[in-house]
Amino acid sequence: MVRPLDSRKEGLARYTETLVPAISLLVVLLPIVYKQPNLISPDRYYATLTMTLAFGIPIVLASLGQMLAMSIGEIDFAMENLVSLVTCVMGAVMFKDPLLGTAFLIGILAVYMLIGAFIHLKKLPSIIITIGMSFIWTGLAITIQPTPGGSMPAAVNAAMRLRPPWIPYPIVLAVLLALIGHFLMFKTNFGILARGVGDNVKSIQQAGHSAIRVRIMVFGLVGLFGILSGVALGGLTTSADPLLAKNYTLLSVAAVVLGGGTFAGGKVSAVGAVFGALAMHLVVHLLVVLKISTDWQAGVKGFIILLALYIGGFFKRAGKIRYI
Amino acid sequence: MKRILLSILVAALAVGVASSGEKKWRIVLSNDYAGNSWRQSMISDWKTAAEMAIKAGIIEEAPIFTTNESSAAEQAAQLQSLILEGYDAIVLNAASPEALNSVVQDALDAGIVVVSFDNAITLPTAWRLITDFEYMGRRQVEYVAQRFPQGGNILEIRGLAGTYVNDAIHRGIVETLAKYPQFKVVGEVHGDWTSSVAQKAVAGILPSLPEITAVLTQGGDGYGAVKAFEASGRKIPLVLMGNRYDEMEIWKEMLDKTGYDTISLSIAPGASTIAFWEAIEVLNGKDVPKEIRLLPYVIDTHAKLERDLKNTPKGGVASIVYTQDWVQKMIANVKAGLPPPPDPE
Repeated sequence: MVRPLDSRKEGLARYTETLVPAISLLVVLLPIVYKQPNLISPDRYYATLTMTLAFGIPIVLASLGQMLAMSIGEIDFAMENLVSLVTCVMGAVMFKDPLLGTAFLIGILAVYMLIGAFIHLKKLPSIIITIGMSFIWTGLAITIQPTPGGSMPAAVNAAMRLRPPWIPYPIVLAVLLALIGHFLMFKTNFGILARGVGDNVKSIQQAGHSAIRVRIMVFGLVGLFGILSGVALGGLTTSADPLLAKNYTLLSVAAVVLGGGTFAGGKVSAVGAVFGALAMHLVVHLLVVLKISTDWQAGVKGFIILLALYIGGFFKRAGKIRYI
Repeated sequence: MKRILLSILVAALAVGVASSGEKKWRIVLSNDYAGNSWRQSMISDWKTAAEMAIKAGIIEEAPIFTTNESSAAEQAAQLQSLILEGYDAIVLNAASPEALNSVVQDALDAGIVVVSFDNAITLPTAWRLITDFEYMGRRQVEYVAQRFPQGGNILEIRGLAGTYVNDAIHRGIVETLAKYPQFKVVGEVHGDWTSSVAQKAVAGILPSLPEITAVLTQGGDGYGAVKAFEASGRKIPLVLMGNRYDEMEIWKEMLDKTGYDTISLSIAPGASTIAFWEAIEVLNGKDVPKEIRLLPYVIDTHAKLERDLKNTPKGGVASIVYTQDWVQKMIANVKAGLPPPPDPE
């Protein structure tokens, strides 16, 4: 059932198909726009879209990290703990001592690369290692920031509050990140090798490539996107909190799957993951505009996610879309 | 001429007041967690107050939105959505005391009234109902000192380690005990506000303890403490209770059998209704102090015990649905520097 990675179709058709992962996003977005027409009104769209999508950006970043892990058939179960820890590093360390803060973040990256090496050498499943790491990250976070508080460096706050002309900032960021992710996965040797390791590691090794190097680089990037997510979330909330990013692990996994990724590896879509992440983020808004009773909110949330997944999957099975 | 102008002005003002009086407010409760009996009771009390206000024509609606598993990032997104939905006031039980401040400031800038309670936020420009957890410790020690002026040995059951509430109640206990040197804390365990945990912890430490005069608690742990003493065959000391159904029930049982007496105190989940009416006061243009300190609800008479036992569902927490009158009086008292009025019956 695995389709060839490069399409036989060319030109325009290929690009329209690329956008179809957006269906999951539309399932969530359209009812919101219907209830809040301000989102598309010419004089209010800028402010309302900026507000509606702002907190989607850290989820997009976490999802791109998760997408990288899933591209080689692994998973990062410590994503939410990492993102929360980074807000604490930013708020409690970086704010006072930029040098120490930077060293801290580089240390986190190094640990992530070690995880990649460890998974390769010991043939351990990443789910076990990262669940272990999740306790370590949270323990560290509580040590450096025992109660919520702290102050974000001014530059981080300012970076999250840019107001470009015409196009709302979160949309600019989401498009940029989708392009970067797409370029990384499909236009670089690294991306081809990573998907190859996820698809069939033997063939990559037989072709003379080092699988351990790929795994180390992939996990380094997982850590990098996790760090960026924490910086973005810290900048948006202007605070450090050891439990701030609760739910991000599952949100990011769901976003990757909504966007066409699989647990088996080899098949991912950066564009799809960005759409999926925004869809997961917007579910919160959908619950508000639909005014679901508080007793039913958790259940309805799950139902919406399953519905988005089903509709996306329906088009996929019908051969109408191809995830890239 | 002047008089005519003046009367026109007065008439215009009156019309203005009348029409603004007819505006029905839209209030919303943003809640971070609903997974325990306290929060469930908080939600049902809110619904009761909201129905009262809808019937009285004061508000149009007062829906509740709850995030999954107390996620501050999700609650921040939810708050932005509530701002866009154009609610007049947001009442907030926050997942984080700090992380929602910037979004709440956005709401205030948009002209929305924000009242936070229970897990209050730290933003000083919002209206905040701060629970006086130190008082919970203080009141317990004072009651014990009144019952046993000659002093004695004390066992302290604490809450969940590393949390603000646990520290605050403990601080109140330690500070007040300093005034009564005839008491000595001979043991300290963590009961995590949970009956079964408390029972195990107390049972574990009991064999090494001398005779205990009183057990100070944090709520949710009193029933387990009584059971542990019962199982060891020792005389049951004065155990302070925390308004949970099982705690009130065992107090009543022992009261009927042996005349055993104590008091029971905890934060009433109905604090959500205080925040609700406070938001309406602010919306109606009343001058409401930004920070109000709330005292826990104390069951200190047998009449109250009977009533609360009757009104509390099994497994629930004693609560009070506060009325608009009461909250108005409370705000007036706070401004005059007086203690809050007695709890409504």
